[in-house]
Amino acid sequence: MGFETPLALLALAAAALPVIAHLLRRQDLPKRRLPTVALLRRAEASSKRRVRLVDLLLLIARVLLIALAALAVAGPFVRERLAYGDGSVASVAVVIDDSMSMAERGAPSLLAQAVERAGAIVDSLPPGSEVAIVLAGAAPRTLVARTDELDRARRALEAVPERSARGSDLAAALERAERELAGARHADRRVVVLSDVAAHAGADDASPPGPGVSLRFERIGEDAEARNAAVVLARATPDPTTPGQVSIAVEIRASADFDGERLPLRLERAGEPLVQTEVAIERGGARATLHAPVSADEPGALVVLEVDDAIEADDTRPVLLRPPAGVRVLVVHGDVGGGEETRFFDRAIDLAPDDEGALSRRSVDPDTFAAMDLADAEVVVLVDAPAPSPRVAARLREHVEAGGGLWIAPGAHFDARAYEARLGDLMPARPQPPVSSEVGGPLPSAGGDLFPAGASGLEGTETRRRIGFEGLDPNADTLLRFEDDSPALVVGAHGDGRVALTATSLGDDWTTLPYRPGFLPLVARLARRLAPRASTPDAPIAPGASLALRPAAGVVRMRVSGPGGELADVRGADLEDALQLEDTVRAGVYRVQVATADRPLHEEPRLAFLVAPPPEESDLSPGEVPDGVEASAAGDASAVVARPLAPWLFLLVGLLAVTEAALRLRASHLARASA
Amino acid sequence: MSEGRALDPEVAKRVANLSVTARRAVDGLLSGIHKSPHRGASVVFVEHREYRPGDDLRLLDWRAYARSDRHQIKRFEQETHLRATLVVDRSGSMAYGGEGRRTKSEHAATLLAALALILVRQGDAAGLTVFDTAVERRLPPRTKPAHLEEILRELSAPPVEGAGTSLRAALTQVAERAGRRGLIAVASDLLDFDERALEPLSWLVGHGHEVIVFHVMDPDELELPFEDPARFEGFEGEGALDADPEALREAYLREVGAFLAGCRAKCVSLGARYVLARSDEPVETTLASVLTSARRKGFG
Repeated sequence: MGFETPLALLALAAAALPVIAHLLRRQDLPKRRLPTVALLRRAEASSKRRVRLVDLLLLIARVLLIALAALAVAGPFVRERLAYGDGSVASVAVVIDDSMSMAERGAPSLLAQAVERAGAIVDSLPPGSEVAIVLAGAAPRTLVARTDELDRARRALEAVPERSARGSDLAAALERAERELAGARHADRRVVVLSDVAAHAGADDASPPGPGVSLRFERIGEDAEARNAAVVLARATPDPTTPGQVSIAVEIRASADFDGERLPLRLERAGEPLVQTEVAIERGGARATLHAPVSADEPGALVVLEVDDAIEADDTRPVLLRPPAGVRVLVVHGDVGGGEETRFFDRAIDLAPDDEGALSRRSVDPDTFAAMDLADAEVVVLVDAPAPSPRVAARLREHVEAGGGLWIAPGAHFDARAYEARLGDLMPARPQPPVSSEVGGPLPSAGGDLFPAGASGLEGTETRRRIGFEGLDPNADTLLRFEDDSPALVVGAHGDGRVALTATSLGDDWTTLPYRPGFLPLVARLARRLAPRASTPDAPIAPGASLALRPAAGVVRMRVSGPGGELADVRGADLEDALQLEDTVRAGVYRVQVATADRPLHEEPRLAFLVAPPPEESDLSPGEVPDGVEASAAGDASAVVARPLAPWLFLLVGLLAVTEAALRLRASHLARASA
Repeated sequence: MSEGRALDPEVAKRVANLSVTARRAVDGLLSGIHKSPHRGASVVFVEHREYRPGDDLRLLDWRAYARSDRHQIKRFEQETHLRATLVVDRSGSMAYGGEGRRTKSEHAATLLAALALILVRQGDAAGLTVFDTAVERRLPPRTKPAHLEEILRELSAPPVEGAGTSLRAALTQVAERAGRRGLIAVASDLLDFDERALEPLSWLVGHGHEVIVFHVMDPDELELPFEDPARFEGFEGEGALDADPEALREAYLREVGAFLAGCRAKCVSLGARYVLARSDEPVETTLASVLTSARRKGFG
């Protein structure tokens, strides 16, 4: 505590004035003799008690009033250590890393420490300041948009989930924080990042803050690599040697200090161990293959690594023990010599990314195809293939009516009339013999949803030869058109399946389409669109990512449950559109049950899916902050500021003045009552 | 002190006027009209009673013994002068007198002097006992006028500064020397009053004495008329008290009322008469009430 004007403290001596006046007044009292002074004393004892108390309070109030006034004039202040900042108003965006490495490490967890630290920062801001809170776990979210209601921001921190399996995306979170500060009221704009600043967080990838914005990293937890091992991959594939069984490829990553250790590994389903083994950690990792039977009733299982390390949550990884749900594409090439069509189309299927659902391909010639069972394919693509025989056409019809997809692309071996004769009832239009004419396209047609608007990657495509369409099914979707507005790709429905018809070839003999960057997305997306609806990706989705669940036709009820309990229970008309799941934060197996008109609620393994943390989140090696950015341990940003007490003292003086007046009134009232 | 100091001539004149009433009230004290309830040696025979051991053999009726062979004592109606003992409190507190008024001591002296004058003029015997914490001075009852001078002189003496009061001790001594029945008139401010202070009076009343207590109080003591805060000091070493009389008056009047009521109740319970003698009231008013009351009771 200190004083701005210490000399003013001399005025404290004036506090003695009321006491001195009181004593002087007593000394000045005239003396009066009275024989009955004993009776007077008794009277005083009985009635003056209250008067004396009021007098005493009055004296105290006056002494305090003068003393506090003198103190206030002296300008007292206390030195206070602020948890953050210098006590001046500012616009502050607090970025809290709520990734798994924060939420699942430490006791209390690093995330809990970060939330507490964020609360201290908010508490340290003077009224009038602005604050925004951004959560940096992937994908970054704004917990509190910029506001000057500091209490509301403080309360919002209580809503940060204690557990998280999210990855980190500090760079995106910082961009979001800077956007929050755009248009802030105060010139002093700061971004504070509360993170473990692990290497995987990507702090060093963050862009330097914009002009006028200061960026500071506060490291939560120790600045050292923690001992950690994790199951980073668990993928089941059908076991080629044993029908009804899957092989599970397991990959383990561990910090260097695990090298040479043997760790127990097991696969458990519904709490029961299916397989137990041991893995030897060498050079920071290990691989193992586990075998387990497929279960239609219990599609999920957990691979568990028994280890005592920094993060327990990543010692377990979910896996689906079911036939792969990826789209199996059967490609029938009419150019059996392995022409360009084969090269372009097969490569497009093979290179399709898994994040929207895996695609697996098998290419056959027409003769092989004629003898195949179509049960192993979701989509059949006839690439420049001759028209199928009536028997094969019947199987294709059956395949489509059961929900499968069929994609017909013309070429040199394409016979329009034969197709019309064999598959005319399936196709959305009657194909015409090919004609040669230069035309721009194909390009996405207006209203088509195969490509994002304005970014198809098909611009500049030119076509030299194409077939025409007649009798276009009015219910068919025309997804691509040539520049002369004639349809280039139409998709129609038949039974529960869908059939696509392309006007030009999928090789480069008729068109430049395979050279365009949009060719690969076109092939992958159309293949997925033609696939049966009821399937989900085999690969885990990231925590917090949204997922659209499309039940098969005829489903009247769908119930989704995850590690935290039931997520959704949808019936009737609500099932016409895909069920968009947003609450996929917790890692684990998410099961789906469906009911049809004929069958009550039952497990649907093809719709089950996994949520798992990104593997890099288990790497706890320390990272770096961007060059030129301030970094410190949490709490080191505290500063000492002087808090003036004079306003409070003057307030007290005012209250005491009111009290003194009230006591004076009371004293005179008592005196009048006695009189 | 001269008679004039103790007995204001004006007062003496007014008191003299009262003597007529007093004379009528007591039914002629000077001519032995006072009837004594005592049986004793006198000329008027009243009755016989059986002899009891210890009786004076001179009172044995030998004639009756000769006639009846029984020892009988003769009883007579006694005729005597009134013996009055005036008891005055001369403690320090009696020195108080409000502004423009005589002190309580002077008022008590005037009151008792008037009474003595009445008695002596009627031929009754009057004595004086002066006390503070104990009996300081005692003049036995006599009828001579010169004795009255001595009483007045003694009454005119001022109180002793700082002297305390011990009512019980003083009245005990008075009772021990009271002798045969008579009048005991006590003038005091009774500030030493407590439950046992006046108990000796019960002995006096029990032995046939007529006891009158003149409670002498100054109006200041009764009304606390002061306005400004002051340091109040007592007369008998009670210590000082800083007080605002305005603030305390209500409570003080309650205390004084309780004090007076207590004194009155105690006197009445002991068989004594209680008379509040305010120092601002004429003494004849006080004496008139006493003598009128005495006549009603057939005093003497």
